[in-house]
Amino acid sequence: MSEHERVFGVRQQLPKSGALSPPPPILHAPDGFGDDPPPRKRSWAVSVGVAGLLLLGAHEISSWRRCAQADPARPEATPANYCYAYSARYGWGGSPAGARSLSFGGFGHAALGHGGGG
Amino acid sequence: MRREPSPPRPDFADEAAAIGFTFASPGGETYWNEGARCVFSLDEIENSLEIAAKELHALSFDLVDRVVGDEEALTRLAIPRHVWDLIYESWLRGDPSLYRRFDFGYDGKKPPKLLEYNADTPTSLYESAVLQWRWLEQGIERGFLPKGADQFNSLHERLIDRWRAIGGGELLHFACLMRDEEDRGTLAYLEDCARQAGFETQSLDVAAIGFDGSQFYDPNRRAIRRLFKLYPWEWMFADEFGRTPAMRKTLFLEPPWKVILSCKGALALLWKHAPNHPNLLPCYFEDDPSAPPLACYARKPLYSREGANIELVTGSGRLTGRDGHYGAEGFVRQQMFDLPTFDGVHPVLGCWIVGDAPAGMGVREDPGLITTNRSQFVPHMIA
Repeated sequence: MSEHERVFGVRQQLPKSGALSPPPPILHAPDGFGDDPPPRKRSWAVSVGVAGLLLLGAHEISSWRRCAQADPARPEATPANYCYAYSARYGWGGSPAGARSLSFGGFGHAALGHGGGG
Repeated sequence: MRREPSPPRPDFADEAAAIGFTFASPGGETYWNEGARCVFSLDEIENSLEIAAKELHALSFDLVDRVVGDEEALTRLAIPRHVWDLIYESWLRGDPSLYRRFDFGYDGKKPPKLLEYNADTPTSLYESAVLQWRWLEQGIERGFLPKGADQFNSLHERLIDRWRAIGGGELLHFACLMRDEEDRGTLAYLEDCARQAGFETQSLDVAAIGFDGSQFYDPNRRAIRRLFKLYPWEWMFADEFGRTPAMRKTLFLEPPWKVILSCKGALALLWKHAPNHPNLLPCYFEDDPSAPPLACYARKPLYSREGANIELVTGSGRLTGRDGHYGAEGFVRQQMFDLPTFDGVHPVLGCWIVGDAPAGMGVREDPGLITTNRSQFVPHMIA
């Protein structure tokens, strides 16, 4: 046994014939997002958020911190729940899971190539 | 370290099909090249490459700890403000990491030098872990490799062990851009390892991640509480779902704090925090007025993949470069490394860390000085 084998041990459980054990089928979004580069589509939640921000004169949708700071009525808004402060004010979240329909296509827009590699 | 010709297996196509390796020749171009092999001594592996990987792994943890609460550094790395808390929380919680890959320039004589740090979405994993191991086993069995030959490779066992250590028993989702064959293959392999570790898994396209206003779901309406994503953090953060409260309800692998290391600005910060480290190259942010000039350097976008938008610059101007869509966030300049040449190609050694342990190596080589997604993978052995 070489030093390398002693350190790392012997191999085990390498995929045998057929290699990868059959996983469940890959899921795609119902409307086919992901088969091609997805079109830019804003979810209803973001639309509500943007509309809310515009109405309230806020300048930066990206900052949950600003959202919390801009809401003195919610002093409990700590860094850990900025997003919930944002949700409560602009309409994201707060509903029981499963009570709303799902939006798709909110990931995949920013891709500039394939996602793997470095 | 040397490169030598090696007889390709006549039944390689059958072998690749049998083990599900579908991207040996993407677009008709050879990617897996077993017409050659790289040969290392055990001393080179254990006392140069493995130690360098261990050392840089420790340094990188130290770097994250310094940077994660430093707004100036986060700004320097072009990490958007709206995710700073998410990153900080993931670090404080100790969100686990699965794997990473250090790419070294190495000639077998001087210490390996870190060229790239693939901390977030490294690929070439299946070929490193399985394909080249089976090449070694069959080579010994068929007599074209010496009986005592070995390989720097415990990836497969360590990946399964790491999944076990991460544990949890919940459904584990896997997502990538399914239209890309290499990404899909890498994801399928990692999913297979997780299943061998006892997980129930489900893979899906990143665009099939659903959002109900509160958290993420798959199209079958199962909550995504744990997600391995082969999709870079900087894209996640830029996507509209990356701004939702659901980001805090899913445990991600790799974790959000990994974005600090996947940015090429980390190369500059590593050099700043460990100047003259034998495994690092001088590296500076391009817009750093205090940076000393480099005569020959690689100009790299803070965020880019597969060699895109990298330029090599010498005293007499641009030596070579690659096109791409990256660079909006800025650049670093890294002192150029004189890559060794073997038979007209330049090898780059990708050393894997799984969990916290060095776990193996894959060699890619290219006739050009920039390693890209078209560079060939060549198996290695220790002899």
